Order: sequence, then structure tokens, then C-alpha cells
Amino acid sequence: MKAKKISAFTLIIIMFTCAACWDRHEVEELGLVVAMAVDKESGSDDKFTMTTQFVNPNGVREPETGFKDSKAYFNLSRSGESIFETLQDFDIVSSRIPNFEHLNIIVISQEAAKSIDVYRFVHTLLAFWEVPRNAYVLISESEARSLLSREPELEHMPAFEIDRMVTTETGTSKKQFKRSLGDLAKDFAAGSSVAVQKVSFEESIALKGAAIICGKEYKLLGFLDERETEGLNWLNGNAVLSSISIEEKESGNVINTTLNIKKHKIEPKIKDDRISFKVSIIAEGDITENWSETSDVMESEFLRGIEVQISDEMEKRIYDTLDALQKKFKADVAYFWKTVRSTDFRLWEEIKDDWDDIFSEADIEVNVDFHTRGFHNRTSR
Amino acid sequence: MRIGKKEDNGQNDRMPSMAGKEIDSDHDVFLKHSLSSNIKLLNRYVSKDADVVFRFLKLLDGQQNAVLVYVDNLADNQSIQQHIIAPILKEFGKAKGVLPGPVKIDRLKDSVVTARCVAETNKLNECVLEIFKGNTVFILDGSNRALIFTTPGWKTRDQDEPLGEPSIRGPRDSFIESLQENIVRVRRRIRDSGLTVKKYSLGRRTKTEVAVMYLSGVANQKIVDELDHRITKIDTDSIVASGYIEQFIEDNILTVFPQVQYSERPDKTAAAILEGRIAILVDNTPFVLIVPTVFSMFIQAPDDYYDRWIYSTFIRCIRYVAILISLFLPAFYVSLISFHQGLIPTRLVIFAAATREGIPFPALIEALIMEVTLEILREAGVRLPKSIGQAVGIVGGLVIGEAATNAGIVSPVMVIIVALTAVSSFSIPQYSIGISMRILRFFIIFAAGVFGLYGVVMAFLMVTANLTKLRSFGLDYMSPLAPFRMGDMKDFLIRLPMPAMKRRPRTLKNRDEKRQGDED
Amino acid sequence: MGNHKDTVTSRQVTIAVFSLVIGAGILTVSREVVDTVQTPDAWISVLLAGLLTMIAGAMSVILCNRYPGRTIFQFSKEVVGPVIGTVANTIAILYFIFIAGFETRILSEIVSTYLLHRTPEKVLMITFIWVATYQAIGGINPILKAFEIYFPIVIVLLVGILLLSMRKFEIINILPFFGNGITPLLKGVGSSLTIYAGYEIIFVTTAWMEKPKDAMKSLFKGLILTTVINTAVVLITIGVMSIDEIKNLAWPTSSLVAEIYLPGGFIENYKLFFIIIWMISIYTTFLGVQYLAAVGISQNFPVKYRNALFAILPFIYLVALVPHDLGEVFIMGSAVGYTWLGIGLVVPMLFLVISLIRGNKKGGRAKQK
Repeated sequence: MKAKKISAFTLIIIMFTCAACWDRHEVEELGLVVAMAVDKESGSDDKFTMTTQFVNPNGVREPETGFKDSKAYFNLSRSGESIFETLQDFDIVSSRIPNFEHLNIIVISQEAAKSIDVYRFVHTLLAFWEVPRNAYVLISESEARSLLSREPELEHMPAFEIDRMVTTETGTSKKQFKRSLGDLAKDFAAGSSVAVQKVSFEESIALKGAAIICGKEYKLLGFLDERETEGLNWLNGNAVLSSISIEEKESGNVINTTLNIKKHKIEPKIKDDRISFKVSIIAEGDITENWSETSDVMESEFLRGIEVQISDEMEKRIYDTLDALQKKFKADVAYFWKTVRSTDFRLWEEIKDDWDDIFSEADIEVNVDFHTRGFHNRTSR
Repeated sequence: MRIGKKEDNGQNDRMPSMAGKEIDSDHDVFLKHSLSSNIKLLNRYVSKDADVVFRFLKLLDGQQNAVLVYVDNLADNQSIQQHIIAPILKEFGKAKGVLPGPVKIDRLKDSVVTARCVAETNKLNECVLEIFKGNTVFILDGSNRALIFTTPGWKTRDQDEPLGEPSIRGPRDSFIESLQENIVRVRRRIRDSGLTVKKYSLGRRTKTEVAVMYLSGVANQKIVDELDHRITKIDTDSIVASGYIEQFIEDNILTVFPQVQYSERPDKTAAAILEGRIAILVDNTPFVLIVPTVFSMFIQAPDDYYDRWIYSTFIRCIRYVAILISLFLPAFYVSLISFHQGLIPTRLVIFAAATREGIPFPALIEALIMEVTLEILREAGVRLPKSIGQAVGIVGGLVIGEAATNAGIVSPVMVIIVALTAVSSFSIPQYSIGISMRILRFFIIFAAGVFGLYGVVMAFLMVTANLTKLRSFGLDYMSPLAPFRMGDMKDFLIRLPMPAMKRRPRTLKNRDEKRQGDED
Repeated sequence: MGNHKDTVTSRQVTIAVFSLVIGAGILTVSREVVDTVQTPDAWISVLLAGLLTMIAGAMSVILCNRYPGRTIFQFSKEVVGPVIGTVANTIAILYFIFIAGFETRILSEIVSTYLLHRTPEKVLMITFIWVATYQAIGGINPILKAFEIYFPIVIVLLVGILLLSMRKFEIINILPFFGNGITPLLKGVGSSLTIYAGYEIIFVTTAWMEKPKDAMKSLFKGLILTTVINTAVVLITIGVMSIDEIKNLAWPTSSLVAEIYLPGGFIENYKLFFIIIWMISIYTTFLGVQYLAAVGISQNFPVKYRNALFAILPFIYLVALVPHDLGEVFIMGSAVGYTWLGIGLVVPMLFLVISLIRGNKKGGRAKQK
């Protein structure tokens, strides 16, 4: 009994002392990568360039001792044919081993997105590099790398700035709802097409519009403009606290209201071989701006008129979006397919491979019901 | 051979008749009838002691001799003068007016001497024992029996506030070094006739008096018997303080967790006895032992019961959080920072990296350095005289921490964490558990430093394994948490209002469970 | 020393059942059942499997109560005779060792993947086994007490995580119900049953219960809780991840946790809590089966409990080393499951039938070791 206790004890002691702390890597030795950009290597068809943004902690927060650093980040780029190999190459050029566990932002340039298999890219990142599932993916109109080099104004580094812009729930629906790596993985796994935020760089970084990635080959198909993105957001019920402006019919003046999607429902109707959809949206809002000089917003007749006009306008915009989705891109990024699957599973299993075509032929009827109570907290004028 | 002996008592605390171990020989030596022979016998043991006084008395105008033997200042001189010598001399100093014949010792004992005679003996070693206890031995020529009078006269300190266990709202009296005084303090609080006092004499050379107090009719008899068994098994030279006894009677000596509680506070002791537990009072120690003890009792403070339940519940919850912090915080920090940076928020990682830039040690070493330093400081603070000690603790901590941070040896975050941990461990009411936590913390930090979060979890599992295997006098150490007893949970994490605590803790398996409600 | 000193409370049985059953299975069950069923209503299979286990469990309790005071290792000889009884006991012991080895392997896989990449797996396994053995030496009561201590931690964190995941839960992902009919669901029951292995602890604890009459209630409470949790996990995983993605995930429940996102919440990564829960769950399962194996040996052969405990260690370790890669680990998991179908489900039923045929047997309490 005693011998066993002693030997057990000794074994444990030995184990602890022999342990080499294999996995210990101190936090200050990390090369934290917070953003990644994928570009197509200019001049070459197969190669592409990956740029990673490393954090320099001393630039974020000055240490008590030691030198002062001003820059909080630095970028490194490598080119290669295989994503995996290129990422591994970063070990060579940096004094610290890249650590992707805090990767926040992934920007893929237009050209790159058109030629690489985005799903494979997403899958590789998730499978081997411990990239968090809630890293956000954006498609950039121009070169992705330049986005990471732009000196941010308010934040410490471009990655944080972009991250802030992506995650803030803003009042405009012109920006496509954020998609994370995990979201993409889920949708691609089902073969669905995906709409991703589009980022462009003019005077400043702007997130507007959406990029469509097809669900078959997982390549970029094209972009939706701001109006179309709005329609898409309304369709998916992603527009919270957005707004809409219309030209009032009678006076021609601009009226603006806030917009809250209260209910959105997509109902599939399957008859014989034809699939059609009925979209019902109920929205609510308050009038914020009324440039009209003659009408009185407390008048209910006026309000009802506005309601109808806004409903019509919304329907029109959604039809435009659907046009683009169905005719131009043949991509169902509004998850119409999910509604079909949830109604008739067996049918879905049969038709899912042809979904893009079936979707583009489908009849979609949109019905928007907008209500308003009038002004927010002031009466007329 | 039985060492200590006990006597069951109600109200009378008589000194037990001796059966103490021989001083040096194995056979009893008996007193003779001749005074001079007896003195010679006594001198065998006490002639070397300059402070043993032989006070000779001549009775009946010198016809009969007697002697009083006592230790100067150990026995109360004044009491001896007033209550023994004076009455004897008054009655028998002169021969006139006294019945003829030698003075009989019984007459002296029963009708003359006003001091309390606690025993008669004809054994030499008992006489010697009594002398060293502070009592007076009276030997009369012509009798082979010696009388022993109680005359303890040593000075004890005035009572202080209980220094180790301050209380905001509780009484401020505390135990002192005199056994009888301590017993009295408990008696004042429990005036029930069921309160039992059993006495033992432990320690071959110290012959320390030990009293065991409990409520008969309430306390679990099996535990009482078990305690009796363990105490009488103690066979050692010295019992200097109650801590010695604790180490002999505890269940498991190999664990970091204490299984015996101790206290300087009479109110806490009385409350424990009323709960059904047993108190062990040791002469010369102001710290009273309380058994049986389970884990949750170390985290309870008397103040919990003097305040309203909402406040007590809140404070208790804070205490539990403090325990968790004091055990796990540094380990978590080390494991997350050194191993699993992916598990903490990005901003935190960057912050930690920035603060640790340039620090020459890995986080584990840093943590150990700080902890060891803190332990040394703490110990130093205890050793120094009161006035300096407190300052050293605070200033030392601050200054060293500040200096170390400025020198770039440790990161400021680590200093904060270690300080927070230390403060958390101070909030534990019972000091002995605080020490356990400190020891465990090192183990867990080390485990974290080697195996990261996996190490922390494994260490936690090991600690739980140890805790679940512990028993204290037959009770599960982890009650009432495991095995889970709903009724006892009223006093565990939260404290329900007084009217709700109708029963004594079921964990103790007491005889009488009802606290409130009908009297039986 | 391996047997009881005190009795076992009903609450302890409930918690023990829960602790043993919730183990490695909860991590992978979503994928396994979705792979078999291929429809979004796969969680129904999990629910059905739980109900089936409850039936088996009820029969086991009835069986045990016919031989009060004796564990199955002790009364199996009475039911089927000494020879077959010993054989059955030995098979059970081997089965428990098998599960123990499997759990060890799973633990080292996950810890290796998520926590300590470079630490050799053998070290992870050995430390794990030693810690559990240290606890198991104390016998059944400390083990049950330990379960009681861990239970609230596991439950609270588990439920917390499930609730937090609801943010990303989309009802549309779990529709339609019965989209493909009931047949695939029944097939799914087969793959879900494996995760309910572990309730066998009642074969031993019923003998020592304070109130054996409560055995049935305790068992049901434990199994209902387990079924609810298992079903909830699968349901929510499907709802958040959708069935197509689940098929790609090695550890779906872990990825579920990775999806949790609270805006403004400063804790970004809830994996921390999940890993803790899950390590403790695997530990409790391992502890339970290790104990069962050791007790089985000590009650079947003239070996003392402590020695049996140490004797099986190398075997557990060897079993853990058997699979070469992750794929083989999952195959082993299925193997565990199918063995359980035989031992945990079929055998008790058989025994009960045989026992009933043999007539009423009420024995006294066996001598306590």
C-alpha cells in the first residue's frame, strides 16, 4: 500500500520535472495576425498574394520600459500557388510565428475572388489555421492589400477600423449584412450562393453594396449596387433601423422615414412543376423629414398616402433586386431555397442541383405593408 | 496503561483523583507516619528546586509538627496564609483548651482549614504532582496521609480582544490561558444542564489539563466516544498548546486541509457546542479546538449570524468568490497567457503582450517569483513587532511590486493579480484554511505552467478527489455539498433568516435535531 | 475498501447516471446522427434513443431490485448460473475497460487539438488516468461525492452555452419535421443510442442505496435530464449550423460554441467554458467505468479492489493507443456503441427475462466487503 503510494507520487513528480512545457509560448512572442488580404498576383494566372497584418503590441500601448513604437501594426506579403504553403511561408519572413487565432478581417480582391475557389479557401482556413469562425469576409473592388495599408484615423490599425465598420449595426441598409467565415462555411456546404459585403476605397473605406459569390463554383459573380443591396436586406429582414426616402407624388417633395422590418416571410408555392414565391413584408417607421410645405403630417389621409407610396417604392426596389438576382446572376442569395427545403424535403433533394436555374425562372410576388404613425416626436414642420 | 483519566461531571469540577504516570519509577512510594521520613522522601524530588517552600508548623505548643509544601508564587501565598495556616494555628497552635491527644488529620481537614481540600493521598508521587500544579501539600506528623489543598495563585493575562478573529458585531471577549476561566466563559453562554465537562491530563511531562465540552443529549454519542478514544490514545511527552492535540486527533495527516477548527472566541465555541459539536479546551492555550469540522465551517464567521440574512448571504457569496479567486486566478492567468491565447479576447491579448514586452521571465516564473515574495513578506510581517509588522506588509508589497515593475522584472498585470489573490485569501475567516489555499495555489499554478488549462482542470480534479475522500470523525468533509443535503444548504452558501433554521445541521447526525419549535 | 461504507443517496444515483452518460458522445453525436439520417429532424432520433434507454434502464432497475443488496456482478451467477455468470461478468469488465480506453483517447485528441498541440498525447493520457485513479482509490462514495460537486458546474455551463447559441439559431434550419418520413429517423436511433452508454452504473449503485425503492425514480430523473440535454444539443446544433455544415465538422458541438457571438460582450471566445465542461464530463464518464471495471474484478475474482484498480491501468492505456488516426477513433466510438447495444441493452433484458422465469428470488443483503 505504502509502496504504491510512494511510487505513484514519485512518478508524478518525475513527470512534472521532465515535462518540457511543450506548448508554452509566451504571449509576447506571438505574431498576432488580425487581418488578411488576398490579391491576384499581377501578371500571373495561378499565383496570388496574401498579405497579413501583424499587431505590434507596443504600438497599441506603450510599455513601461523600452523603446517607444509608433506604429501599431505592420503588413507582410507573400505570393504562392497554394494557400496553405503561402501562409506557412510567413514563418520565414517574420521573427514571430504567425498566430491566426485572432484573425478578424479577411479581404479578397475582385480578381482573386473571380479565380479562386472561395469555399476551398474558407475551408482551409477553418480546418488548419484555427481561424475563428467569426472572422468577417469582405470582397474589395480594387486591390485588397491597399486596404490594409491605409493609415486609420480613429483606431490603432486598419484591421480594427474595418472590423468596427463591419460590426456596427448602422442605420443604413445599403451595406450588406456582415457575413462571417462560419456563415460562409454553412452556406457553401449546402451549395447556396452567398452575398458578401463589398468594400471599396475612395477617399475613405466604404462598405456599400454586396458581392455575389455563386454556390456552384464558389467564385465571384458580380456586385449589387446600393439600391439592390437595400432590397436584399429588406428581403432578408436584415434592415433594422434603416430609412427610406421617396418623392412624394403630389408635391414632388422629399419625405424620409425610418424603416423597421417587423415581419418578413417568404412562402413557397409548389404547384405541379412550377415553383413560385410570395414574399410578405411588414414594415414600420416614423417620418423624419418632410420637405413638403403644404401637407400636414398629422393628417391621417396624408399619412395613409405616404404609406402606400412607400410600400410601392419598397416593392419596386425589391423587384429590382430580384431581377438582378434572378436574371443577371442566377444566384439565390436570399435563401429562397431554405423555404423550399423546409416545406417539402423530398422535393428539395431532387431539385437542389438545378436550383439556380429553377430559381431564375420562378415567379416571385412581393407584397410590402408599411405603417407609420407620423412624426417621431415633433408635429408638423 | 491508561495515561489520562477523565471524570464525568455535572456542575462540580472536582479535581480528579490521580492516576498519573510515575515520575520516574514504576512502583508507588507510600508516605510514612513520621514527618521527618516524609520530608526526606519529598526531598528526593524537590530538594533541587529552590522555589519549593517548606513551611513548618508547630502545633500544640510544639508537641506535634506539620509542614506545608508548595511552590512559591505558583501557589497563592495569601490564600495559604489566610485559609490554611491561620485557621490551623488559631485552633491548634496552643495546647490549652484542646482535647488531649495528637491532632487528627481528619479533624483538620473537615473542621479547621477553610481552604478547599481536594484530595487526600498516601502516595508520594501524587504529592509531588500536586505541588507542581500549584497546590499545597500538608503533612502532619503521625499520619501517613497528606492533605492537598487547592491554592492556585499564578497570574494570568487580562483578556484581550480576540486578535486573530475580529468581529464587527460580536462580543469582544476571548479565551485566555487559564483552563478554568475558559470553561467559565463557555458556561456563561450555555446555561443548560446538558453541558458536559470532561477532563483529561495529557502529556507525560507537561500533564496539561484538557477539558472536553459538549451538550449531552444533543451531540452524537459516537463522535463523543471516538474523540475520547483518540484523546486517551495520545502518548507523548508534551502538550504545550492545543495545536499539538489537533495533530494527534485529526483523521488524515497527509492532506493540506485542516480537519479541526480552532477559535479564540467563546461565542463561536458556544455556538458550535449548541450545534452539536464538541469543544476541546487546553490549559495554557487560548485557542480552543472544535470537532468535528467540515469544509463549509471554515468559511463561516460568527458575524454571519449576528447580522441580517441578506447581508450575510451577500458576504458569504463574496467569500466564496474570494476563495475561487485566491485559488485559481494566478493559474488561469498563467495558463491563458502562456498557452491558450486564442481563448481570450483580442484586445486583452494585445494588452497583455504589450505589458509583457521586455519581461525576461516566462509568465509561470513571474507568477512564482511574485507569490513566493509575497509569502515571505507575509511571514515577515507576522514575526515583526506589531507596530512595524503591518507597515512592512503593506509597504513591502507596494514598494517591491512597484520597483519590480519599474525594473521590468515583472509585469504590472501580474502584480495586480497577485495582490488581488492575496487580498482574497485574507477574507477567509479561518486562518488554517487560508494556509491550505496558499499551498494549493502553488500547486495549481505549477500545473497551469506545465499543462495550461488542462493542468488547471486536472489540478482541480485532484483537489476535489482529495476533498471527497476526507472524513472528519466519521463525517464527510464536503458536507453539505456532497453528499448533497438540501436541509443543510440553508446555511451553506446563503444564509436563510433565523426563523427558517429550525434544525441543526443534519450532517452532524445529532441526537436532538430541533432548534426551534416545540420543546420536548 | 472499494465498496461502500455509507449508503448511496437517491440524488447521487441521478447525478451519477447523468455524469456517466454525458461524456465523449455529446461532442460528436450531432454529426453522427446527421450523417445517418440526412434530414434536419435528426434530433428526433436522439430523443427516441433516450426513450429507448429509459426502457432498458427501467428493466435493469427491476432486475436489480429482485436481488437487493447485491450488485450485478454478484447476482449474475444466480441468474444464469456460475459459469455463464462469470463469463458475462468478464465480458462486462472488458467492455468497461474498452470504454475507459476510448474516453481517454478522445480526451487526448481534443486536448491536443484545442489546447496543447505539441504536448505528446501519451503524457496527456497518463496524467488523466492517474488523476482518475487517485480519485477512484477512495471507493464509490468519494466518487459519487465528486460527481455531486461537478454536476452543477457542468449543467450550468452547458445550459448557459446552449442558451447563448440560440442567438444564431434559425428555425428554418430544423424544418421540416419528418420531411423524409420516419424510416431514416429509425435508422438514426441506431447511431444515437451509442451516446447513452453509461447508465450501467445503476447495476452497482442500486445495491447500496439508502432507499432502493427510489432507484427507479432516480434512474428516470437522470435519464430524462440526459435525454433532454442530448436532444437540445443536437437540436440547437442543427438549428445553428444546418445539416450540411455539420457533416464537415469533426467536433460539431465545439464549433457550435465557436459560433456564439454576443454583441458588445467582451468575452469573445466561449470555447474556454466549453472545454472545461467537456473535460470534466469525460473525466466523470471515465471515472465511472474505471470504477465499474475494478469493482467487477474484485467481486468476480479474489482480487482486492485496489489491486484490481491498478491492474487494469495498462489495459486501459493500451486500448487508448489502438486507433491510428482520428477516423479510427470515430470507428472505435461506433464500436463502443454497438457493444453497448449488446451489453447495456440486450443483456439486462435477457437477464430480467431469465430471472422472471426462474421465479421470485429475494435474497438478503450480501456481506459487505
